[in-house]
Amino acid sequence: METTFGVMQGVGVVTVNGPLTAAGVDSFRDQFGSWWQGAPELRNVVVDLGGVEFLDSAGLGTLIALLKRVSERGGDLKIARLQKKARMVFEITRAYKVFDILDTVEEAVKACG
Amino acid sequence: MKAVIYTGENPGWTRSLGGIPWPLAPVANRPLLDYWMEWCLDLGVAEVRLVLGDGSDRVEAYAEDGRRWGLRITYSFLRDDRLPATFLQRNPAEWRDGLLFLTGPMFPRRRFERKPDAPAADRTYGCGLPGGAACLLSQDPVFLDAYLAGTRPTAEPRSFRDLGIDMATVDSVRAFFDLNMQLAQGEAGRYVTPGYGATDGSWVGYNVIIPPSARVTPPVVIGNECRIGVLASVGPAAVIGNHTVIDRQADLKRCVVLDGTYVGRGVELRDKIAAGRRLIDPQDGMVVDLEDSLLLANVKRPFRLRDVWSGVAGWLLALLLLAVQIVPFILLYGWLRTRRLARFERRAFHGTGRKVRMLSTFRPSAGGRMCPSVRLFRALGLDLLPRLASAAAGRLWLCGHEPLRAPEDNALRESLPAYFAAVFSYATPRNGESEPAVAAVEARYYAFRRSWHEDLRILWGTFVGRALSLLGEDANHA
Repeated sequence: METTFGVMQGVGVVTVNGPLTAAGVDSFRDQFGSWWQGAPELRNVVVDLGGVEFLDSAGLGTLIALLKRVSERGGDLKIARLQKKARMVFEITRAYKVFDILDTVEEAVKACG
Repeated sequence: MKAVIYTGENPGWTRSLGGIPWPLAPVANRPLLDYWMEWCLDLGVAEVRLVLGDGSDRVEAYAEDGRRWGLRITYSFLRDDRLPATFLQRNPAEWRDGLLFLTGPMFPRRRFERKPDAPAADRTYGCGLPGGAACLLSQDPVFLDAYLAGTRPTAEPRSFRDLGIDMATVDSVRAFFDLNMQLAQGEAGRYVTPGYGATDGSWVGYNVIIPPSARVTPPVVIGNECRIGVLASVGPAAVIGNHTVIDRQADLKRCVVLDGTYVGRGVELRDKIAAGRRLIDPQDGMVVDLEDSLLLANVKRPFRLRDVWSGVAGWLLALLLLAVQIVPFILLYGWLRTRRLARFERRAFHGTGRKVRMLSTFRPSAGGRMCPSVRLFRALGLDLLPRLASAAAGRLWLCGHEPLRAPEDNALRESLPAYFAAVFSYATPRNGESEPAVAAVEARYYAFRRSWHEDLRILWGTFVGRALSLLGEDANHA
């Protein structure tokens, strides 16, 4: 799993490529933690899951942990470009009720504003 | 009249469901073939020829000789590269007296409730497209001669609607899903389903545990030997297969859950098919194989490394309990024997693996059942000491299934996905006594949910339950 971190219009953008499963969530969480601590000016985050074909409950748990960390700073975390298979997992776990899911990163960034 | 059903066709949508042959694809929890056999009976067909193709041996294993439907089923084989009609052309004279011929996955959907004065099938009826699944029914020798000779028959076949049948082609996952939904939403009542009742649109099989806090909203179809968790919600329009476990707080609506599927805690299924660990969206046929057994899983359970650790820990604990109990056992059992209040009987049980073992079972005499010393003996768990010795010798697990009797429980033993004959089980607080239905469901539940947590629950329930029974409380409330 590859992760890149960036900023678009004052909103943090996390791009994930590869399956978000138990095998990779620890490093993802650590990388996010380091990046988040190093960017105290950021409040909102968009997670781009366009490159995530599949995620499991550990991946979902990590996203919820990220949402909690972002919320502690008074911000919000939105999901962008959710793929069909990952969307099915969001549906059966009711995660779609927890996250705002938008079709594109631009829409998600705009929604954060 | 004879029926010929070609089962070798293996359409792509069945691969999404795990490669099940189309005649065994479940429609409202019954194999598609079941509906055809019943319609054959209605039509007066006595002999059915199932033409098998590559990989359709499971169909033969299911249908056997057809006795269960009162039909005579015989089998033939046709290579996959041959057209089904070529089978008929091998011996045309055999079919001249009347023929029902089916070449692929279709469903004889009744338009109305079954009526005794249904129209007789005395003409020629047909449907289907060349190259796809097709169905033909005829008792007209002239038509059949022409059809079997490969020439164009003089008369066009009539529609099956004249017989009150909508012949539905099941050519996609979506068609399969829609068919299940149609039956779940009320049409199931048009078909004979022995052993089922549907006074309020709830078709519930046998050995189904539904706790009071679970909500079942009709119409639903629930198969045999299922367990619904607390606070779970099932229905409306849900088809739940046999041997399924719906864990707590799961929410199932407009969905099909195939046999032997575990649906995890809190999982929400809407407009989906769950087949073991596979999740299918019937709208576009998208398939997701979930590696995560917390969400969806097969009830059939593989052997796990933690079973080894569980075995070692259980063995050590069995040795410890044996050492603690041996002296009280000798003293108290000696007392019970001299007073003829109780004794041990040896009976045959299924052990772990395929072996049948003789195990000791504690039997109080009629007078000794309520005797304080017998109750104390049980409360201390001393009645289990011979089985603890078996566990210490590696013949039983410490916690697991209540040993199943041989041969009385053979069928249950065969149907379990995993079996761990043990000293302590869910039934131990009840002194090993269970209603057969409860025993079956508990055995199936443990087979899937076996864990340290479940084993600790069993141990806790046993010792606390038995201690409370000594105080006069009902052990089952512990």
